[in-house]
Amino acid sequence: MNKLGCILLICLGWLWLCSHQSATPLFPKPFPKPIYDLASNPLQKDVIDLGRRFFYDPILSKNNTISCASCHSPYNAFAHVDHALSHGIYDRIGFRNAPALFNVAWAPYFMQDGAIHHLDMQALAPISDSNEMQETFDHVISKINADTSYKILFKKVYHQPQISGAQFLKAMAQFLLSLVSAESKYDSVMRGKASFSQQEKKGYLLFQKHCANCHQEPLFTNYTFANNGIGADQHLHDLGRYRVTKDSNDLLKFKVPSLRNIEFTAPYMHDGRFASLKDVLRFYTSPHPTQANTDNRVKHPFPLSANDQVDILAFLLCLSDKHFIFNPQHAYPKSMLKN
Amino acid sequence: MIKAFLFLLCLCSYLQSFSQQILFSTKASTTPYVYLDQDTVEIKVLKYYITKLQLWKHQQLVYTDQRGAYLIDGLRDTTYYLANKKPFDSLSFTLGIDSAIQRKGALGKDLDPTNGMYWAWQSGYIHFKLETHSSNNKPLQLHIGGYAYPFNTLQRLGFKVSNTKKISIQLELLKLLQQINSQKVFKIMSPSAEAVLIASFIAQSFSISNE
Repeated sequence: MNKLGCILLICLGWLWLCSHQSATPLFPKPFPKPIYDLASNPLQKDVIDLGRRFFYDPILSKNNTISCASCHSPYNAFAHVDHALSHGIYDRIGFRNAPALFNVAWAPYFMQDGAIHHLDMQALAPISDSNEMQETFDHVISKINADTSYKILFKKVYHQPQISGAQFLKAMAQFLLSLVSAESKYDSVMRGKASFSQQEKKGYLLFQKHCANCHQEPLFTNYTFANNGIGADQHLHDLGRYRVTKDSNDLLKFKVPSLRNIEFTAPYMHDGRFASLKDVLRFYTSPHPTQANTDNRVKHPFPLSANDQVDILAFLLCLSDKHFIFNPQHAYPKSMLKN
Repeated sequence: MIKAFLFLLCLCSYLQSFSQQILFSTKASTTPYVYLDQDTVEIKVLKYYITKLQLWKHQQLVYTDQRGAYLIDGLRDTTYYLANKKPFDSLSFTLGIDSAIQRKGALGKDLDPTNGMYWAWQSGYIHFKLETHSSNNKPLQLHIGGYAYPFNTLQRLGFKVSNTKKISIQLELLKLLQQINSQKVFKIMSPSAEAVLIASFIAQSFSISNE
């Protein structure tokens, strides 16, 4: 009886913990310490869920048609598949390729040119961009504060019927912080729970030799800005990091993207000019025009045979994280269907 | 009724116990209108941030205000009470939001981005916002910000204070508009060399009255 009582007590305790404890997302061990100051915005499951609802809600746009998920689909690692440049409000075409979203806790900057310096403030950019949501932030807050279903949620989460702009941004950031991708085959191999095939192993060695300097493990980016030599699109005239710093050394530099989930995030490059990974490898292995500040590491074609390139592709597929892609906690919240 | 009277009495004595009163105001011909070059310029928006307000005695710091930031609406007078009780002879404050605050992420109250003082496309607070309309002069749209080299527009201002009970800090709008006009700068929406120059004009346009 005593034993049964103990077990019951433990079970009840466990259930209580599950329902009350802060949701601690998986910050996997091989990853470094996150850049994001989690003490300033302690993760809580109900706040993450609220942020997730904001993420999928088109109320953020001027005419209530475009949500964050319109260009950041969970099934494409939150990139926009098959769109070099995403289309936003009134079918307007954007300026850049929508990036994938995951492991943002480790990113010191956001946007392809690093214009946003804090995850909390990231959502302000697409909300106000005339090609994306074309809405004012104070009006977004007015709209959600006037919405009956949100009032109920705010009372539940914050014990008040309305929220501030800062609370909105913190909730959105919490959902984005919960998007951690660290369950790929590569991760399993690193944890000793799986092994590469011969071809993947060869690809991994080639990757380490030619690509890992910029796409550093385990996040597969070094979070710097570089000009890889592809040049500016003649219609977009996108000058990259220069747009932010106005420093000529930063001309045509863009953020080095993570290669995790690269299988799902086509097309590639800041303007989506390459439709496939084969096109990307073809670029890096063929002679191409360069600019004065093109990064020395990619100025000359990589000496990779066709077979080498296939091996590298085989390794890159090991960075796909289907646990992440199909995680129901990242998907469109079913509770929104009822409203 | 008596309760309300007593409450007001207590409130007054509470406020009195704070010996300093700071008034932020805008000196214009007839706010929100300024007569400039035979033209009437209407001030549509005039907002700015004051931070790190400090009081000094013989160049020794005696008080640092604990409120992070004050968002001042230049179209109306705003009075704040400081909780300092020590003697002082000068005052200093920063015009704008420094990098330590900028790097903190989303903040509320006066720093909430719903106040329209945060750039969306590029992270950073707008330190000073001035928008005008007039029939003869070009309208101004000056959103002055930038907290990092080489376009750091933060300004640290200091003033000697004689009457420490009531301090009035004024922005002399005509002086500012004349300086801006001399540069033929009409629109600034991002950190730049022009923004740094205009920020210096703004700093020069503040004065203190010790009535």
